[in-house]
Amino acid sequence: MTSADAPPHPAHRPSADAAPAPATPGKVAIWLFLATEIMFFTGLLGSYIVFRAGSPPTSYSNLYAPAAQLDRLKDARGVVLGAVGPDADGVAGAIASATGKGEAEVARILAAAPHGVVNGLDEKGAGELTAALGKLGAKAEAASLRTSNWPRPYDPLTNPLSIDLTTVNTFILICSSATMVLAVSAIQQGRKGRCSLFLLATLVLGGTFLGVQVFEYHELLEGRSYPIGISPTGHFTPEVSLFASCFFTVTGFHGLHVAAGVVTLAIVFLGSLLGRFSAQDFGAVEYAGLYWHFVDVVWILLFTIVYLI
Amino acid sequence: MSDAHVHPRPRNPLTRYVFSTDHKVIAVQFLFSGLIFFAVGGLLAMIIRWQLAWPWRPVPILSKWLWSAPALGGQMPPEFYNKLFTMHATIMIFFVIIPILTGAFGNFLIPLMIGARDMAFPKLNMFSYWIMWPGFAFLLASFFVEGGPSEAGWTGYPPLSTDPHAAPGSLNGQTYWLLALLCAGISSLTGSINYITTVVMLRAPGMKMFRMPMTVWSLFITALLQAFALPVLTSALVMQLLDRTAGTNFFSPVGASVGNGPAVTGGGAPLLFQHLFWFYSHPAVYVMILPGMGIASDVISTFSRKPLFGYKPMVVALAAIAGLGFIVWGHHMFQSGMNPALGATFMVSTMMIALPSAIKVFNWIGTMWGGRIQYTSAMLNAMAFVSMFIIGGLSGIFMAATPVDIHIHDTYFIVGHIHYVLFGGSTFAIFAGVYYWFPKIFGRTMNEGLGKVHFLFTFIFMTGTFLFMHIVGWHGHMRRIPDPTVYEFLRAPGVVWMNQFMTICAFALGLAQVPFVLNFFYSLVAGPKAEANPWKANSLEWTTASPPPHYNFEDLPRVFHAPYEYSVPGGEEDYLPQTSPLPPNITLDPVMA
Amino acid sequence: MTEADASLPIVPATPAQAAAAADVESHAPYLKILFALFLLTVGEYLFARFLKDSPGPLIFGLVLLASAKAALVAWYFMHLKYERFWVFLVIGPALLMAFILTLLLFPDFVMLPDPLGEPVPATSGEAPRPAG
Ligand SMILES: [Cu+2]
Repeated sequence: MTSADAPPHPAHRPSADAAPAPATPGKVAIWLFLATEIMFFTGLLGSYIVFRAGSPPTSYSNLYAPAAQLDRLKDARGVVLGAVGPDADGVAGAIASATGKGEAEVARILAAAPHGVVNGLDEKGAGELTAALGKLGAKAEAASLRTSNWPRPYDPLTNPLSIDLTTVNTFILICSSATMVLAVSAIQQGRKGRCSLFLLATLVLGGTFLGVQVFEYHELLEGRSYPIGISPTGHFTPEVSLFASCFFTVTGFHGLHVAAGVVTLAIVFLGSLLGRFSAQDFGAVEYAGLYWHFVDVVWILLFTIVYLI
Repeated sequence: MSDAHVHPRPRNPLTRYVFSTDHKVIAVQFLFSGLIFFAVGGLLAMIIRWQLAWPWRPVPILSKWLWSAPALGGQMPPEFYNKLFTMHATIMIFFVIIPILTGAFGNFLIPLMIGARDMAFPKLNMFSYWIMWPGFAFLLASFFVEGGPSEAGWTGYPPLSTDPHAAPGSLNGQTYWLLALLCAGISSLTGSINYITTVVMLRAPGMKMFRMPMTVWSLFITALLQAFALPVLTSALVMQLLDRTAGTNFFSPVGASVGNGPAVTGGGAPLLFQHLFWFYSHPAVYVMILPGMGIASDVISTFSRKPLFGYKPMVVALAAIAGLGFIVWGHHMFQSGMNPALGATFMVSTMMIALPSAIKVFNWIGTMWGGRIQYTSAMLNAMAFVSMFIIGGLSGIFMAATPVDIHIHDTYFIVGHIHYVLFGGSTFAIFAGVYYWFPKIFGRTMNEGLGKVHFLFTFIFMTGTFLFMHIVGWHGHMRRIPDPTVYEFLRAPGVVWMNQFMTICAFALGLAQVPFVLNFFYSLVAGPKAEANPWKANSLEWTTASPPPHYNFEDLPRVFHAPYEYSVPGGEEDYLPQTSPLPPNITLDPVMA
Repeated sequence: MTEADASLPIVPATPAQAAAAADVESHAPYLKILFALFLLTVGEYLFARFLKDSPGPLIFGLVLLASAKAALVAWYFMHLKYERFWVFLVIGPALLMAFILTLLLFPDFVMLPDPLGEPVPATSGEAPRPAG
């Protein structure tokens, strides 16, 4: 940043973003576009909300796969495998002999530890298996059936989402919104270098957000194994439950919007390096900013609705 | 006004006629592709009618290459019938009427009528036309994929549409159908943002909102409807697409399995798609009728040589219809198992739409009342629009009443209703618009005699085709069945006779378009050169040359009054262009005009 | 773009806007908002963590906190504070429609009779006996 960027007498000139913003075609169009985006996300998030609120109370459970028929399983018991311990083969053998489960299914249970769930047991069987696993040096405890109408936050047996990670990621996106508005404010005062710097910061923060989301998707889709209450296949993919369908659709479309925003910001950033914008002509920066903030607002709501509630 | 922004017309034919950013060229592109698809959709309708009149009889000529199934002896496979009505409706609604009304008329008229040089975003405008082409491609390609095109109806209800095992057309045809609709939707969305911005920002000096012609008002409100409702359909189509391709569970109930297919996890609700679909598709029927109302208002006022009766109430009625249109979608779902409390709400809100609709009808009649009516082809079509809209509107009230709807739901009564609104309403409005603005668009005049022949036969055979649908529908004739004669009560001679009569009228209706096509193309090439203002009309597009120069106006016009000052007392002529000041002794009624 | 700017009204700044103009020179307001957003995010996190087993207060509090965050971003970062009425004319109807659509979906997907709460006849084919 050089002092040549700064306008000669900033204090005497009313800053453009404080003046009553005149309506320009670009601004009318971008707000209309945002209105259409509001309606688009209403379709997705509204569907999520009514699915979430109207889901029957036995849709998800700690012991059975989502959407399993639980009416006759009220007395079902299971065992939660907290740690496999030294004798993995022994543990697998004990589970297989107690439940008659096949090799692949047992392997999934072991992989999901510390939240591996063995189901299909009655009270006696659960007690015996817990004792047998304890003898083998594994950590295990018996669990009774607990149902809910939706995966509960902070419940690793039904909900695979990491709230800690995503809270940090939320704040990263909020920070990128702040740097974006600082970039707009800088160019409104004619400080071109400062504007480019803040645009770059926004770009980096937005890219970080996307990177974390890609990491999260990778973990969910194939990186980790989850217990049966989350997915019968061990991986959290769109088809395993209505929650998974909603999660991937809503966050996926938001992610696509962020990606589009990052591309737009990259173009704007290059434009700012080439000196395309000035205190009189900064429409592209402002419109990209409005879009970026909108994506941020959607995420704020989405984070609360999908992750926390 | 500085004309520094006026560039010369591009010389390169590619940027001049194909990838043009000129709103007039884009309008003509929309018009031509719409009319071509009109022929395709019409042909599909003919095959539908053939099957209904003479079930399972091989279709002359076409059956050989439409379905190559010698085992059936040339008769139509039943699922092909489903594909026919699905694609007929899809093409007519999403690729004919909406693109012609908003794409062609909207593009051509909005800048010219408000005195702008082009749309606010010419490149976006070009994009909104060319994004239709992937849509066209998906639509046409779906005829050639395994299983053929979609057969889930134009409404695409799950589970028939989402489960690939439900029907041959749900294999890949449905995916292509969804992609085609998404492309058309993006076109409409970008177009509507462009139209709204243009109307709000680029009006000529003096062109206040309440000096805009009704056509611009209607296109403006139509664009608002699309901007606010269409994204919801987009989200529903996206969810259906993901249900089909990514295995999501939005519209499948728990453990659903269709047609011996594997059970899905499910947990979603088929009814949700209906809600989201109709949240757009009820406003969509207004997208298809409001521009027609605007066109009819302008044509009727011009050829009655009288001010439009109640200009401001007409605008308010348009806005009321549009506003109410957002809270009535459930009237399509009375029979869906929807919560009965919602049914009553939607019934009441739907019936309220009769009020602004009646205001419009009374005002059109009031405009004609006592006028010196000139029965041009455009005027005849506009009058047909009004009368057909009355019939279609009244039969709509039947469906709005839940108890009556239970009797006539999914019968030919509703098929008759929709065709009275979409053919009797929108299509007559399109014809009125084409006859009225053809001289302005192409700079040549259409033949009035051929136009009247076209109108007369279209009107007669349109009535013959669609009127009896109400009667057979009331008699219990279901829609979407390939063979009514399997039912005892539909084998009654009267029903069979009416089905055959409707089919013959439908063929005649198709033939009645021949004079239009001849007239259109002959006039395009060899019609007499049109003057700037052949109809002696007031609005701004008639103040510039026919066809308008690149960038529309030599100098931006200055507007002094609304466009309906016909037969002003003391005036020299019976019309007063918007660019001429009012005579000093005239005061306007502040409420009505 | 054509003659857009020629006919635009230019409105002089009101005293409040002029005051805001002086304020904007330092970036303090934006950083203050960012800090508020930080606090609200932490608040949401703690709220969700410690009230996770009482859905009523959890949803109420979180919706409130999330709305506050969204409103802060929209009001300050998206400059709604400085915008004129027409912007609200654009997004107001969209928010209203969004609300109506979601609200009218509730009767069909949320306010359902509980299928498990209904008395199920012991054997099919036999009419359920009236209670008492
Ligand atoms: Cu409707």
